[in-house]
Amino acid sequence: MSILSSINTALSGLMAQQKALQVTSHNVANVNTEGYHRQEAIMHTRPALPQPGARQDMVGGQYGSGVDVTTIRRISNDFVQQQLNIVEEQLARWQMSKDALQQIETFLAPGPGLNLSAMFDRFFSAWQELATHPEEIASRMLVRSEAVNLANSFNETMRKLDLLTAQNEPNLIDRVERLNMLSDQLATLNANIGRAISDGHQPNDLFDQRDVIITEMSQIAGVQYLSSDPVTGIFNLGGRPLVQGATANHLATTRVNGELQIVWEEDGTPLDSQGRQIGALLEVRDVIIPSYKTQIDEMAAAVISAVNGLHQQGYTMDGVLADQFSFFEGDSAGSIRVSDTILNDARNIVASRFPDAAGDGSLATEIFNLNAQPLLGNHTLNQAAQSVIAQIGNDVKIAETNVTANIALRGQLRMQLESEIGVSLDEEMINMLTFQRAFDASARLVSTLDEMLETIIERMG
Amino acid sequence: MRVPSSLMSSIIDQQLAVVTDRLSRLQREISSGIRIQRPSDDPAGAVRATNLKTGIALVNQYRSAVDDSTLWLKTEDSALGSIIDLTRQVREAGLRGANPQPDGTREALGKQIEALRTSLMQVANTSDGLRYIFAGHKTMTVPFEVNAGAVTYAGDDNVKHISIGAGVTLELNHSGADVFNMGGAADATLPDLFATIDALTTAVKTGDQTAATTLVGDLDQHLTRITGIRAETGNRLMLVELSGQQLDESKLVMNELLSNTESTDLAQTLVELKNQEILFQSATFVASTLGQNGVLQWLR
Repeated sequence: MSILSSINTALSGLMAQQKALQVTSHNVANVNTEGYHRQEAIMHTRPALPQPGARQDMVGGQYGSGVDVTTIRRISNDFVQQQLNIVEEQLARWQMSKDALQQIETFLAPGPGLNLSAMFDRFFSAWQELATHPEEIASRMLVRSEAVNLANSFNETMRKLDLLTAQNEPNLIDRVERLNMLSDQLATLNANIGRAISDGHQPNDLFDQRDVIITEMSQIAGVQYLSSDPVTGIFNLGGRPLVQGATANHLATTRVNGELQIVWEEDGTPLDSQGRQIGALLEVRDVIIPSYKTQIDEMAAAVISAVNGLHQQGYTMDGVLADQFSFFEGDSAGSIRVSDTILNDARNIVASRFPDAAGDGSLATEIFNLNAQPLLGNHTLNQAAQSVIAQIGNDVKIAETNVTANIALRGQLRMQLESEIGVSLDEEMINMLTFQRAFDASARLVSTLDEMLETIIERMG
Repeated sequence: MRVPSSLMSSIIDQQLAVVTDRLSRLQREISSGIRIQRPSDDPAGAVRATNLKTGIALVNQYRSAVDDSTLWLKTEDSALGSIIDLTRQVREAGLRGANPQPDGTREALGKQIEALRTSLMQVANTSDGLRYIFAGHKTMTVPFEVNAGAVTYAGDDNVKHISIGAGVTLELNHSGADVFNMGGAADATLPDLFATIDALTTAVKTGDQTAATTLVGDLDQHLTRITGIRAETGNRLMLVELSGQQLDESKLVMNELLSNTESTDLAQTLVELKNQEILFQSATFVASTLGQNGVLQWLR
């Protein structure tokens, strides 16, 4: 063994510790980077050198030749990561539903005691007031103003639900565009990773970026990844490949009968996926909002036809049979309004079935009694309104419970994952000390070996 | 377990979010006094509260109908009292006229009966301020008028129905036709009260004692009928007052139920608020100590 080769060995130590310190620096620098997996330098001894020369020396064994950093290992836990992705998907979906449902809740029950049920109470109370005081114009004006209130709150609720449907569209378009962007990024990353691997590198940081992108894609549309191999792996969406290796397919939005639809850009086939944020947005638009609109429309139609049916059998305050005009006009919650005849003159509101019977409020009583009649299947108007309130209350509560549960679950899994992959500054500081001391020692070796060389060159010369 | 640096702060972050959410919810409950702010706070409770509010609105409405009916019935009762009183006085005068009397006395008795009839007319046209109570459905029309010396009735014999409870309908009024037997409403063989009195006046004035005696008998029939009607009005008044009491009671019960359902339990909520405040303070304290303990402190 020559002194020179010992210097080389010491040098390998210097270089390896420096590389390890580089990894430590990288970890410390990325302590707050989203999706960052901590890395560690794996060191191995360099191949041992056999004793050179024709005749082997009598020393047994081989001399070691130092150390090398062979891999920069990326600490990961795929199992927990996948579970976490599933939870993130669920959370994203419920969060989306919750936001929409809470808005609907605000429209249907803006505050304690402000809902359709209360509107019905006030409307029918006004008719009872008229039944008690059929002679007075004031009680008719009360009926008229409560009828206008009722019609307005129907109109307003519908208008807001329509507005929510309209607001839904930009959200959908935004999600689709984001997914397309992520698909492109993923395809590019796949290409880069493939290239790096074929060059014999291990692109840890690219893997981190890739994980972040996959998580977000899953949140948007529930992308399934059949194999996580970056070069050949397929990312499926609704049974069709969205990203395959370095190729990305795109989604597009189009209008069918005025309604926004999501299709594959390639051939215009509708997207067959019910998942996650996009699925939740579609559910809000196609199922949830229409279901409330239908119920509210039914209530409006029932109150219109029942009140009109009785009203046209009565006589106005001036003794005219009211069969030439309606009390309410329209046939749905969006179109219900108090007729102009009534709006122009409250005297046209009827209270009696008889002409010339100022003191009779029997018809007003009949209209008042509508509030106890099953106008909607087995339900009175009030019960129908209450069932809408119960339904939205439950829907919101279910969504909230799911959001809370998934947040808790995410917390657990994140903790589990972070405890493995997260950067601990304490640990890195200790590592730094370890590598620094090793570096110092290697440097000391070099200078010692240098002194030995000096001894030989200077003193023997 | 390895505890990476980011883990501590994210746990506290999450904890703070949960506590602040709870805090703001409790503060809203306490400041508004209402536990159920949105249906989703308690869907079943929200429906119960809505239901109770509908019930209370109904009770209030029935209660106002009861008050209104009470006023009407009391007016009718006192009017009927006056009618009976006046008719009795007519009867007294008629009875004296049915016996032999000097001419002057008969004339005076006749005058007295005529004056009583005028008073009776006034009572028959009693209103509760706005509505004529003895006019059937035609409450806005003056029911009794004198046409060519005879009293005519311009009302009808319809009955006003008032709802004073779920499924409880009250027949509120007695029409002028019923009370005064106008148009033979109650008894076709008997002339109406005014016609009887008019005939009695003539009989007393002319000294037709037989006719006067018969007419006094007719007056007795009228009195019996009107007394019966007054008794009925008294019964209705009792019924209405009873309904009023029942409505008040059920309103009390429903208000209590409503308050149990949707009002904030202040004592309990305040205690919970205090707990959350303590949690919040602890969490912020822990957050402030983050990063103070670590190897870095000791490395120089």
